[in-house]
Amino acid sequence: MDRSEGGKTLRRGIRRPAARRLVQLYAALLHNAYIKGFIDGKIYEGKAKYLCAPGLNCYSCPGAVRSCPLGALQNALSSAGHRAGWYVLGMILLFGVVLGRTICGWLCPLGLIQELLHKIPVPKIRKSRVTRALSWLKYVFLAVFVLAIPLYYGLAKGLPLPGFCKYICPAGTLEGAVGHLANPANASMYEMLGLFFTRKWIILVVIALVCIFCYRSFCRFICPLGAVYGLFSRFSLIGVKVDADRCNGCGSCVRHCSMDVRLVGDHECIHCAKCMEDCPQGAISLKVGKITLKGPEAGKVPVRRNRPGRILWGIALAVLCFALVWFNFLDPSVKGTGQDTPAVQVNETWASEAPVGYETGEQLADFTLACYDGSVFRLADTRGKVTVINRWATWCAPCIEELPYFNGLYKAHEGDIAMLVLHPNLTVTDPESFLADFGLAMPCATDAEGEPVKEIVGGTTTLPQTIVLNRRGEVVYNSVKSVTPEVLEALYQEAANQ
Amino acid sequence: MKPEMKDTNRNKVLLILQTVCCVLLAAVLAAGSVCIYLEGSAKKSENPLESIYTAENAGGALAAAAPFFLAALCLLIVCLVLGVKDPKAEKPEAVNGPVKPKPALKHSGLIRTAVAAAAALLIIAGILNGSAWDMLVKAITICTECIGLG
Repeated sequence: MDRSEGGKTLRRGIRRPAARRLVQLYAALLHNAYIKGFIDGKIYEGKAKYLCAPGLNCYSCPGAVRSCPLGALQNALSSAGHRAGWYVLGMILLFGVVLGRTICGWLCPLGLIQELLHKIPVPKIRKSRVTRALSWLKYVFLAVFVLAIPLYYGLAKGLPLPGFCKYICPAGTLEGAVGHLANPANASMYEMLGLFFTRKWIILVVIALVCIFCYRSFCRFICPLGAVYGLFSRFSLIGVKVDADRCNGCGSCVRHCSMDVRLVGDHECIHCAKCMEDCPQGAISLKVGKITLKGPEAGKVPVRRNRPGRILWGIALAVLCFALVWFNFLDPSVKGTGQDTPAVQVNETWASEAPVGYETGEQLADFTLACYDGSVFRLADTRGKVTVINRWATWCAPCIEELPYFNGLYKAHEGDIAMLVLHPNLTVTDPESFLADFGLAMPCATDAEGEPVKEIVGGTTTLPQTIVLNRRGEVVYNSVKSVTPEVLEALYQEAANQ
Repeated sequence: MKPEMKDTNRNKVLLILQTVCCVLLAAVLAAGSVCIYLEGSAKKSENPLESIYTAENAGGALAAAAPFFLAALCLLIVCLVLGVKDPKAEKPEAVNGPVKPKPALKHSGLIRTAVAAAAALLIIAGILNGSAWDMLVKAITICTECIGLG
């Protein structure tokens, strides 16, 4: 029997996957039940994302149907000046007290990926004093990237900056970035890649490589979510428990464990329950309170087993099937796309024969929006000028960083340029008061109910988006990526000279 | 040479080959992205509207890594079939002295209940103050910077 897996050997040496592996696969599929997202290249936009996933699973993954607790925590901290993020804190506390680091061992999709990578046969780096010392690093990552950076930038600079997501998170790069880039429907996303992506890609490759040699190295040395859940280890409801009366202190459990544990069930223990098979005394079991979920192997100590039976697996399978059908086909909270767009009514000196659409060369359908300064922005009235539309959000750091560039462009070409800075109608904070701090000269508005302008400009859930129209209202540029002053000026010149 | 010795040598060679393949694969993937960035940056400095990455150059970088990936995959299959693994990996760690479990936390049930109650209160407070809505809004919108796109 493969000790590291705990799976039983069937005929011809084929191993049956261990229950834990099946649970991990099940959880990964349940975390990412929106299969349609992988096909369409879009993310799930339904209300199921009101709930956090227990494990580390990027909510920008095309398949994700739950929010990432770590990403949500960072965003809550970065907007702490406006509103306290009690909800995320409550969710994390609840997961911690009920499951603790059992999440890492049984439910985390990234944990599963790391374990599969570690299956690749190469000489392995075993745990040692060095790895034990390195295991404290994750608390540094937690303090600096998850707590300090978002709080500092949020409170001092008004910038929502999720430090861990931005600089390190391999789940974001793998599930979010690579998940989107792999889909041909998102080919335009390549335009926004640069130094930032290069850096995160290299981090992902390095972490994946290290995971091949060193068991769950991301969990052990980096993962701030594991660090948080580790704080609940001593009193979480579900977890590996040692029967002190049976334990003779031989240390077999700790010696065989691949994590940097000093004691079974400590803050480094992921409650995978592999140590149960190594305990000669049968003193270790996986429990929910006082109920035993997984007991010692038969033949050692006669403890009554309470393993998830076929009925439980049947229910779990039914839940998974329901989730797949619900999230992909039935969920009414997922918005539909492809609304009919009205034709442009105004055709004066700057008439255009271009078809209505949002691709380059097409003309945008007309729309009217009331702006915060009391003016009304009507697209048809901008004919004869270069028109720039920028979609941004208060929670999007790159959007906020580039707002002054648009302001500069507007001031430089005032009279020959029409500009609209458009916020989605889902607001975290009041954009009007937020914008007052910037002293912006151009009109700013929030998209109307149902986000009709987002549909007209071919907007997605990705921000920031910039659309530049020539004097005839034809699209010269429509892209989801950050821009620089140089790019904006070049786009203006291109549109003005067409 | 004894058959066990032969097997041991074969296993060592396979493990080393697999290591080399994995390291080279990672190096080629990382170097590919750096090359694309450097070449793309030079083009972008001449024309700000030029893209650094394109589907074509990213595909080219992946194609360059494909031979190493395939080699690693073939070796993985060979190793799995032959049952090759690092023999030291499962060697138990030396532990000084007896390892006795810590006594159960006193009033752990009480602590658990208190924390669970606090969690429930925080969730309710979060729903009332709108932070649940904030979380949803963020989760249904892709922040390109957060996932490493740029």
